[in-house]
Amino acid sequence: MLDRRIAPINSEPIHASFPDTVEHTLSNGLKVMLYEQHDVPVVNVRLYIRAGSVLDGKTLKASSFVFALLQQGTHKRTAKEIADEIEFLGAELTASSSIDFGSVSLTVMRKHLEKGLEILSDVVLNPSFLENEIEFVRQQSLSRLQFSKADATRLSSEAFNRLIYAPHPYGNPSLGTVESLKALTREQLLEFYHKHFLANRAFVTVAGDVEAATMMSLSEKYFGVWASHKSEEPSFDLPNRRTQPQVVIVQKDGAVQSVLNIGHLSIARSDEAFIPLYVGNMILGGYFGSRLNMNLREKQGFTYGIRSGFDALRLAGDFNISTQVRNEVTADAIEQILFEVNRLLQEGVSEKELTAAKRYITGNFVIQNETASSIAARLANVELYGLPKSYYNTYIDAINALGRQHILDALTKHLHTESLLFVIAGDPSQVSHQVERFGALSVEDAEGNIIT
Amino acid sequence: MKPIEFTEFDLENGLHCIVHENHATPIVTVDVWYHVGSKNEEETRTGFAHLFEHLMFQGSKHVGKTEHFSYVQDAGGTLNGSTNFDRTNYYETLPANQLDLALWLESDRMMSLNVNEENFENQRSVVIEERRQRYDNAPYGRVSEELHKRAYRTHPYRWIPIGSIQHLQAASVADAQRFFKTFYAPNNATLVISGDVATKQAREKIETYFANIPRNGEVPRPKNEDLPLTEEIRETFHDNIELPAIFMAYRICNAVSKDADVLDVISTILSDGRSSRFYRNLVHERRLAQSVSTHASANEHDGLFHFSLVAPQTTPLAELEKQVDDELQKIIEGDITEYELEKAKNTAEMNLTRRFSNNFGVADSLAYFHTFFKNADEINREFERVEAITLDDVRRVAKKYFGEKHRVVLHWLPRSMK
Repeated sequence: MLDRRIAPINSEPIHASFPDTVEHTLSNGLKVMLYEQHDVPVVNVRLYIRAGSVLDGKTLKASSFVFALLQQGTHKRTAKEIADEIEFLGAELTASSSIDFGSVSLTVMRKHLEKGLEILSDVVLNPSFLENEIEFVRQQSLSRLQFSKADATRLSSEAFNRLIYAPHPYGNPSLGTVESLKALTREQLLEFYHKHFLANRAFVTVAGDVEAATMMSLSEKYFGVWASHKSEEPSFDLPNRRTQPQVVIVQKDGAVQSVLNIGHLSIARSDEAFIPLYVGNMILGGYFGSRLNMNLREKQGFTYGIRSGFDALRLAGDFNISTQVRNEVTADAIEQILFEVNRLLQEGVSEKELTAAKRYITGNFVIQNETASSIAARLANVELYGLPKSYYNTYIDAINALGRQHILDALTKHLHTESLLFVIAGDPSQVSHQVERFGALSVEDAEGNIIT
Repeated sequence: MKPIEFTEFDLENGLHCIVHENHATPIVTVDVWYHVGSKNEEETRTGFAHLFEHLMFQGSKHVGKTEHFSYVQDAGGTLNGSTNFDRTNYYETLPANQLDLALWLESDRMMSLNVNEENFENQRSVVIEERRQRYDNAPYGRVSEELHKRAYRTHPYRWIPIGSIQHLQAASVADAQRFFKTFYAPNNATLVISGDVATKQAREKIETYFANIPRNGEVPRPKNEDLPLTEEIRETFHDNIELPAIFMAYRICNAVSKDADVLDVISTILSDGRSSRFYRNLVHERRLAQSVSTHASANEHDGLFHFSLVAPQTTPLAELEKQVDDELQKIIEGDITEYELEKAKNTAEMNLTRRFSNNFGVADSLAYFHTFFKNADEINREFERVEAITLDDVRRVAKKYFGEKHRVVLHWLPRSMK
């Protein structure tokens, strides 16, 4: 007879392993990393190029324009022809840039792989940057920038990034400025393209229904001609972490919630402290069962959800707690957030919490390996962030080896509650008087101009 | 396409069960569908089905508040639930050796709800914040509510699953007990297991945990009927946004109708990808729109075909609307080519193939086809149905649903343009 009082938990350890992958370097130095999975007759090929917005320099959004323009015409095909040919295959071709890198991704049925690769190669190697298409991308970008001024979550995260990182390029406005978007020229885009679109600045991940030998010879055929050219990597000074708390309200009149981003400058992705901080943060605000979510959502009912994280990039990172709460409880929510962060630093994590977080991370590692694309994304992480080759093979062991003291040491060293930045996108008339006690207060408009 | 194989059976209490074996990864998904959504709500309690979904995580006889989450997450799993117009689902993916845990949790809350005033109050606040975050404080967040309000007259699709704050505030624990008693029973549910399991053992485990849950009486269901839309309903809103936009909706058929597949294809041809008609003409060439999307949302009952067009401030919305009307007229007159139809079918093949790359995708599709088509094996006929569509079908269906301008048209403008 079933005794429902006892939860039937299987306490065996979770066996988590990272699957075998293949790596091959083409004659021109382009590295191709591949994970074969034959369950679904689809292949994803993603080409990463170290040509992200961090390299924009004075020409803000150059990286973004260059990636957007790849599909807007080559020396062989018009934008229309590219779209027609790709979509007739039922395939998807996307190109976009982020901060550290940009990527071009092709998802295609196995039966159309070669045709898809030929088009992928064409858009990356032969873009034409026609003036008319540049104007199209410019207009789209200007509208997107304008659109974003109505989005409180974006206003908050943009202000947070600027105040954490500027003048480092990580603090640049992610959608540019009206002036920068209007000023970009074809010559500047060509310069960016020729300087950074090189085989030695790129690598390829492949995931799905293709045999390694076939893929490597196709890669040689379509990307082997791509030139390599050694170039100097620019370096950027990191800003100092602030020494005093600061409160910035981004004005969003009529807002019915305050969007909060609270945090400070922190470590880069390759820092050895990343794993203990990842686990410590999991318990603070990394998943549904975290202290912040249990308190602010399940106990107080202040919010639909809250998260915290060490958002670590190639050169630096930040610690960031983000949530949205109703106007009236803005200060109460901040009080509870500070209470939880301080409690974590005083008490550390319990053995029970640590065991739960480890099992959650391990189990999710296995679940995420279900899809070929997430394995490919992990291969890419190792390259992009300069992680050790064996990172994902030893990842679960590294997690499981952590003790309470490791976590507390890492948190103590890397959490700085005395000098937090509090960004609040919301209605100043509702929240200013609530939050001035947390630090020096200023109010900005959506463009970052100080109002008071 | 490789067929999805599965085994189906009913327990004596009416619980319909489906098991799909997939041994690629040592994990398992359990997905439970209750055939209840916002269309089962009383009109003075909109949003209740969704609030109730939250309450199902607040505790049952042997599971305390928030323990549902912690049991699954501490075992290495992920979980969630969602509510739409027609159904509510609860699902978890776990290491395969935790199947018992998932079944124990789902069976415990199928047989008992344990919610007190404090938990109820807490989740009411959470859901109201969810509404603010996703609807009231988000650009264009109130559009779907305003569309549904006008597109239906008497059918409960005239409100949306998030409901109204006022109704959420009026709801009580007693409402929850009544709702549970009416809709949460094995004879109103479908249980799907997909993953690294053996069908025979999975079946035994299902029987162990679910066989002794009592069935319920007949579940009340609204009828698929409404007064027809006989005119064009227009409205202009001024809101905290920066770019003007047009949102339109036409009434269409239900999901089981063959027309629904044709409407999906029409939607693909209109707006899916850069080679689609609207993207090419309105976004890329004429640059009248910043973005365009269309969606055929054929639900269990007759649904809506949605058009959303966001424009730069320089575009007169009347001009943009005329372009949309002209394009629809062309489709009605038979302007779509074999090439476009084949392209849309290739897109459909890709989308269907990719959907089955994880256990949850398979499980949720099986539950969908069983619940609404009364035949889970429709999962293996989806592409066949799309393949069979002809240009005549496209023309006929376009004329049938877009032939008269019986529709809702909302113009959404920045306050600065008032």
